[in-house]
Amino acid sequence: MPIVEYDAAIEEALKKITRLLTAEYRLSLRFVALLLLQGDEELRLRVSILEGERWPEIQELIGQTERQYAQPLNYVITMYRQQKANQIAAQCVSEQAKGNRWGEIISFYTMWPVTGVPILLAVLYLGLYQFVGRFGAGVLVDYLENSIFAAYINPVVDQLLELYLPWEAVRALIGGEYGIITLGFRYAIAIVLPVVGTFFIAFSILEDSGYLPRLAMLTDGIFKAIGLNGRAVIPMVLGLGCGTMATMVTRTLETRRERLIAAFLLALAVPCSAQLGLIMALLAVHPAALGIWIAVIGTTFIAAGTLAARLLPGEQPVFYLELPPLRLPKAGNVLTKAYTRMHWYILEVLPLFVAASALIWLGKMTGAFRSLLTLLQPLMGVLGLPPESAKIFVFGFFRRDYGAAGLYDMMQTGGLDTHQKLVAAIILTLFVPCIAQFAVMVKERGWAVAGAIGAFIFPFAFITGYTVHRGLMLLQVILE
Amino acid sequence: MSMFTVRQLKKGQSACIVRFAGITPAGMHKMMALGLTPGDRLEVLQTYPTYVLRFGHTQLALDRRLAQGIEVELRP
Repeated sequence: MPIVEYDAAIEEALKKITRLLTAEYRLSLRFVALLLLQGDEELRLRVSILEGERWPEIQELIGQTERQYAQPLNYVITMYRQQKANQIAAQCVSEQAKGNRWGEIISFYTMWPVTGVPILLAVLYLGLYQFVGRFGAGVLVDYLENSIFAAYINPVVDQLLELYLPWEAVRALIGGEYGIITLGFRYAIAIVLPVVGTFFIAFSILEDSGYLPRLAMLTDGIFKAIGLNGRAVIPMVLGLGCGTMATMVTRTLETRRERLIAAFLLALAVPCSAQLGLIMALLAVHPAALGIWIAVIGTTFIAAGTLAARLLPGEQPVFYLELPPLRLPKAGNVLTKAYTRMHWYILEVLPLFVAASALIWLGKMTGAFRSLLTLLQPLMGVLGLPPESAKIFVFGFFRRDYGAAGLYDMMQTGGLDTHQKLVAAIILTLFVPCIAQFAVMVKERGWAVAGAIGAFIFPFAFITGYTVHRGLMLLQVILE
Repeated sequence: MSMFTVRQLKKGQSACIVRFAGITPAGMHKMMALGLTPGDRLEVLQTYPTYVLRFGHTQLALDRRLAQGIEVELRP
């Protein structure tokens, strides 16, 4: 006895179709027949191949049944199921009027634009800036880097190498300034892990509270303008933590077009937490320069998105999203989720960091880096930057924090004025994503797309930097 | 009885779904998968920045294009 019984016409069709099905489907034949009637494209294709000569007859049966209803069969079948579900629910569910009053009030304010936007800014400030930026990227990174790696691990590794490996080249591959352990592992464990770890905790709290769908509905209009829809807010917010992971998450978007636009914007104009930390350190003391940086990156994001939406053919996305009730997240769930994600992240990303340090090693050994730096130096002159800043951009591709640290050093030694810091910060933000993000882009979108995105971003970053540099000169703006 | 689309409803109004019109079959499938079926009663909680509907125990946010595609009638 099936759980849901349909009317005579559908039942008759189901009986006839199941009799014609001979292949193995790993589903009950009745269910296969139902899916065929409902118009499941994938299954129709499979059945047409597997059943061969019986397929036209099955098709005819589907057609006959469809013609008996004014509405699509999918709709008719869903109605019967819904009725049955309501019946079952009525028998076993009793309701008490006990609303989550506070949840509803807060829910309302998160979705009302007048209060929703300030709430969003507060969430970003507390969750992202204070917790991830200051605590994760600041306190935790300092501790792991200076008190663990710099104090214990790196010296021990270097000493062991000195003792047991007579070949300088091999020593440099494992230890030293750019070694797999001293750089690759250190980067992954001391810098990336605390940043993404705190970010995953913050993100899991947001996720479990039910805030993200509300954020999506609040920002749907903005995302529509750039060819996406409110759902894209999730990879974009993730991108402020780690662009590599966010690019992976673009999978969840519905159409190929949306996934492409999102990956492009993540690569171009969404700074990850490593970049944000650096830029805050560089520009926080110069409010005017920070303001210009925000305006330039924001404009780039909107303009590039609008342009991509115009240029890429495809349907405008529609937006619909269920809004779950707001709930207080449970600590256990949040930690489990954050842990699972960190685990997965380390497995996927650690090999990329190891590969990056091997590449840096290769570049140093063959002298390729030196030639690249020499090549870039004149460009630095055009941008009004000192020649040494070339290495910030070259290494920035391999290790975001190296670019960061390099820039920071130059600032400490008084090598850069505010104007130069601003130009360097803009270029470093827009400039090609780090090698890990690029690798994920290749994996998700293919070489052609990733290559095209890279080929656009590289000149675009420098042209924008140049425009800002010249603009400030022409307008005779002197930044304090 | 006059027919409206959800887009013509005001905040706080409730109505019964008559049918989906002008939504792609895929879109309709999604609406129904979320439990929004003809005959259901819905209430409009918000119309901006997107529409927010309540039906049964579900709250659903959807954009203007989808709201335009849900035909309803006002029944007390």
